[in-house]
This record gives sequence, C-alpha cells and structure tokens, in this order.
Amino acid sequence: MRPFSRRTSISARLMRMNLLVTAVALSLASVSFLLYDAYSFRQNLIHSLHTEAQIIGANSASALLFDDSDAAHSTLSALRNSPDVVYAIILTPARTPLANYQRQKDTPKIDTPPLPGHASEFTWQRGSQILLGSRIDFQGKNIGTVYILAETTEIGQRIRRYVLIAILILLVCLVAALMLTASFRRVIANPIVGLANIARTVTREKDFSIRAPIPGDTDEVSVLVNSFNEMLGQIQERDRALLASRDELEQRVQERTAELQAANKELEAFSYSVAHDLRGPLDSIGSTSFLLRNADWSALDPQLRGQTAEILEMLPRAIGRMSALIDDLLNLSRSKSAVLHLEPIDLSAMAAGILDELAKNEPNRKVDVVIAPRVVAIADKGLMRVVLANLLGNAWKYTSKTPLPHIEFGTRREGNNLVYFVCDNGAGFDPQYQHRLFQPFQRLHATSEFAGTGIGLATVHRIVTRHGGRIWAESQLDHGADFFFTLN
Amino acid sequence: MKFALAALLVLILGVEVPGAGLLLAQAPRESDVEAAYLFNFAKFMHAQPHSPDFFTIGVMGKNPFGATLEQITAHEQMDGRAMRVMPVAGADDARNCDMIFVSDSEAPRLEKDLEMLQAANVLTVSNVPGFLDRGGMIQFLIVSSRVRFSVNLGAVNRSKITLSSELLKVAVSVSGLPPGEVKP
Repeated sequence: MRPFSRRTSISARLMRMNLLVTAVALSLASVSFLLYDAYSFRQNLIHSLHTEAQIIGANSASALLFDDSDAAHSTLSALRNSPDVVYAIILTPARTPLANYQRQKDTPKIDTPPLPGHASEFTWQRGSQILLGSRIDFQGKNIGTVYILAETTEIGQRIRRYVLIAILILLVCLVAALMLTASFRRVIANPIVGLANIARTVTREKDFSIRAPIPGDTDEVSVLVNSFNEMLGQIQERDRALLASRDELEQRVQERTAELQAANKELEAFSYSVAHDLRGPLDSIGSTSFLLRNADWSALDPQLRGQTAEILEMLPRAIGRMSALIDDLLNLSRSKSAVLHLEPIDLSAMAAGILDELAKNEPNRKVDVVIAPRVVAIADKGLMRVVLANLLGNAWKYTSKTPLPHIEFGTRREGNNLVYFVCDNGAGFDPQYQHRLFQPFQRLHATSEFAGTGIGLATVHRIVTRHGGRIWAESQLDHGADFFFTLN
Repeated sequence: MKFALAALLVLILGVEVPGAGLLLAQAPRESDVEAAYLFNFAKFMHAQPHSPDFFTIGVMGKNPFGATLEQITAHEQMDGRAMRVMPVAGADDARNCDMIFVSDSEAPRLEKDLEMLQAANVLTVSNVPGFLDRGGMIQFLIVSSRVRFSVNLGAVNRSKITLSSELLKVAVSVSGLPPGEVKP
C-alpha cells in the first residue's frame, strides 16, 4: 500500500501529457516560424541584393560606357553599408572586370557564371552564400553585368537566436504547465483518486455502505462515481438478502434439529422405559418359574410330570436371553445419554477381569488368552467396561467352535494414535457385510449358531464415537476377527 | 583595322561581333576610343534638337576617325532621331549640328567659333590642348595611356545644354563649377 505514489500516478500522467503537448506544440510552432523566417530572410536578402544591383547598374552606366573603373569602384564601395555583401564585381559585356569590391582584403576571387539565356537577373546558392548576377542595361542596350555575393550566415545566427528564445519560452511554458497541472489534478485526477481510495476502503473493510462523493461536474467521472455508488448499493442489497435467507435457513435448521432431538429423546426415553419396565415382570416370571421348578409335582401323573419338568427347564434360558436383551438395550440407551466421567483406567486389568468372569461361566472351555500389560486409557470407566465386555464377549462367543481358541487384547501405534485391538481366531465375518457391523439389530450370524442381541457392537460404536475415537474391524470368514478402536 | 574596330565595339558598346575575342588583348587606337566616346556623350546630354529628324555629329576640320565614327553611329537612334555624321566646313555650318568635334587642324581660330557654337547650343568636343580654356566644353586627355576627358561646365552652363551628372562623374576634371559645388 503506497497511497502517495498511487495518488501521484494519474496526476503525473496528466502532467507528462501536459508537458508533452506543450513541448510538441511549441517546438512545431518554433520550427515553422524558424523555417518561415529563414525563407523570408533569404527572400529579403535576395530582394535587397536585387535593389542594390539595380542601383549599382544605374550608377555605373557611365563608368561602363567610358571605361572608368575608378568611378565604378566608388559606386561599388557604397556596398560598405550592406554588411551581408562580401564581394561584388562589374563585368563589361566582354566579361572583363571593370571594378570589384571586397569587404575583406583576402576575399578569394569567385567565378561569375554568365546569366542563363536572356535572364536579366539570376541567383546562385554557393554554400552559405548567395550570388546574384544582374544585367546592366542603358538606353535599351546591355552594357555590362554586376555580380554581388552575399553571406547568409546571419540566417544561422538568427536560427541560433531563435532556438535559444524557443528553449527559454519552452522552459517558461513547462513551468506554467506544471503549475496548471495542479488545477488539472483538482478537476480530473482528484475525483478519480478519491474514487480509487473509496474503492480500496470498501475492498479492505468490506463496508458496502460507504458512498463516493459525487463531483460537481457532470462528466464521465461523475458517471463513473454514480455507477460505482449504484454498484455498491446493489451489493449491499444483495448482501442483505443473502444474510436474511441465511438467517432463515439457520432458523429452519435449528427448528428441525430441535424437533429431531425432541423426537429422538422421546424415542430413547420410550425404549429406556420399555426396557426398564420389562425387567419387573421378567423378574416375577423368573421367580415364578423357580418356584414352579422346585414345587412338588409328585401328585401328577408321571408322564405328565416329565413333560412339565421339560417345559419348566426351558424357561430360565429364555428368561436369561430376555434379561440380556434388556441389559443391552439399557446400555445402548445409557451410552448415548450418560455424562462422561473421564479418568485413567487400567484396561489390562479390566480385560483380565472380564475374561475371568467369562471363563467362570464356562469352566469347560480352554481358551488361549494374551493380554498386553499396562494398557491404560483416559475414559469413562463404566462405558469402557461395556466396550471391552462386548468385544471380548464376542471373541469368547465366536471362538466357541474353534479347536484351539485364541484371544488377544493389546495396543499398537499408528502414527500419533494409539490403537487398541481385540483379536480372535474364531468364526469371523464376511467382509462384504462390514458396513452393517455397527448398526443396531444387525446380525451377521444366525441366532441358532451364535446367541446374541445385535445391539452390542452398535453400543460399542456409540461409546467410542462419544469418546472422540473411531472403531473398525477386519476379518475373513472362519479366519477370526480383529477389532480396532481409538480413543481421543 | 576592321578587327580592331570590332574589338572596340565589343569593349565599349557591348555589340557582339564574331571573332572579336581574338583581338581583345590588342589596345584600341586612340581615335577609335574617341569616336566611341563621342557617341556616348550624346547619351548623357540634353539640348534643344537642331533638327526633328537627325541627331547630327559634325566634324570640323580634318577627320581623324576615318570611317569609324560613321560605322559606330550607323543605324543608331537618339531620342527617336537618326544619328548622322557630317563634315563641317566652318562655324556657320556647325550651328546646325547637335555636337561638334573640333579637329586640331582648326586650332588657330577657335575662340570666336566656340563662342558662336556655345550660343547655338552645340556641344563642342576636341582633343586640342587648352580647348577648355579657350571656351570649349569637353576635351579628350590621355591619362595613364587611357583616353579620358575633362568638362568645362561653365561653358556648358552658359549654353542651354545640360550634361548628366553621370557623365560628370566619370570626367577627369570639371571646371567652371558654380561656387560650393564639388565634382563627385
């Protein structure tokens, strides 16, 4: 940003233009005056030479007729008064010199060409000199010729004087032009410069409410300023419309979001209360089935008793599955709404505890478990337990049909991120259904094959996401599954 | 003789004569120059014509010019009058001429004749020594071996003849000037 140099640019151009026009006009005028002067000077010189030749001719007639070179000499010596004349000579008709005149003693002899044809007078240009020859007639007869040689160096002197004067005038005019430029600037440059400044301010401050002052004259500049102001007005108008529509849009988004949030909350509250309220009846069904199983059925017919016992045996399993489903639903609901209490957690110990519990439930299974030591995280303890319980529980579950089951929990570095993983060599899943893996109620295996609710991984996904992390899985069918997640 | 005359004509009158250039180096004879000057004097004088048709140059006494003067004046005109040359026996005849050349053969009885011719407005020219002192108007002289002439303006002025100042300018001397006037 160099406001000063920018401000001068248009004025400087005006000034240059001014000076150029002045200089060119003056030079042309000077040159034409000079040429005209040189021409008219030469014409005047020739004319005066002509007059002098006529006078000399008239005054030297008797000298010619009586062969009197002294008289001719004295006639010629009148040329002393003509400073331009350097040499003159009077020739008889036989072209013998009668008398001559030399301004300076050492003037070289000049050759005097005869007059062409029947001309009574003729001029020759000899370098910087003019030679004029004139016939001398007396009473109708040619009695001789006079030649006068004049110096035109005065033309050169005049030219030099002229050039000097022209340069002086040029200088004066240039100074005047410089001074005039100030007024040009006021009239032409200032409105444009002002406009440029305002344009710059508008660009810099994005303030479209600024208006350029309209100059008094109704010329192109004022048209420009008016157009500029109009443009600013239009931009301002459009800006206002844009802002209004954006506000409206935002408000609509907020409304919709609020509506959606309300609906979602309602839905969650509904599912939570449904799950929660289902637990009560289920508990009574459980205790009732326990009472029924331990009741005295000896009064019944033995065959009927057998059937009853069979039916009563099925009840606890179904009740267990329903209880798990309710737990999962409650977890899912909680994973979304619960407030995060971040604290350092020993994930290694937590994983070991979960696997111990799983092993306790199925003491017959032999699983090769590897847990990396000192895996820690800063996260919500309750929710992290849900994550590990689901992932390790899945690994436990899907390795149930594997001959040499193996489960591993650990971490690895990927760039700046610490990636936690749970790997197994169990049933795995078909990678083409990977996108359904973390969606609720989506199962990749039949319930008859592996028990499950289809909510677990959806819950895990939600918890990891809430911690600002990411979860993904890699697998080949029957070649185990690897689950990875990060926490922020 | 003829070539000499041609050279003279070229020199004095500017008449171009074929072959004249060859003889320019040779000085013209005195009498030829004088004949040419007689003719030239006619151009610078003004007087009452003695005849409406002729401008007459009379030669009194022995003619020293031979045919030269006739040749120079032949076919020439002076103010519309044809020029002619006449031998003149005495002053009585000479009164009808416009100009008289007095040959040196007439020297002994000059004064009376000249007085009469002055009264008759005839321009008198001669090469007789002392011609001006004896009442003549123009006298030929030899100055630096060139033919020059002197003028007795007093005698001229006493007649009704006027001579051009141009002529006086080229005269060697002008005598009888009115007081205060000096020859240019």
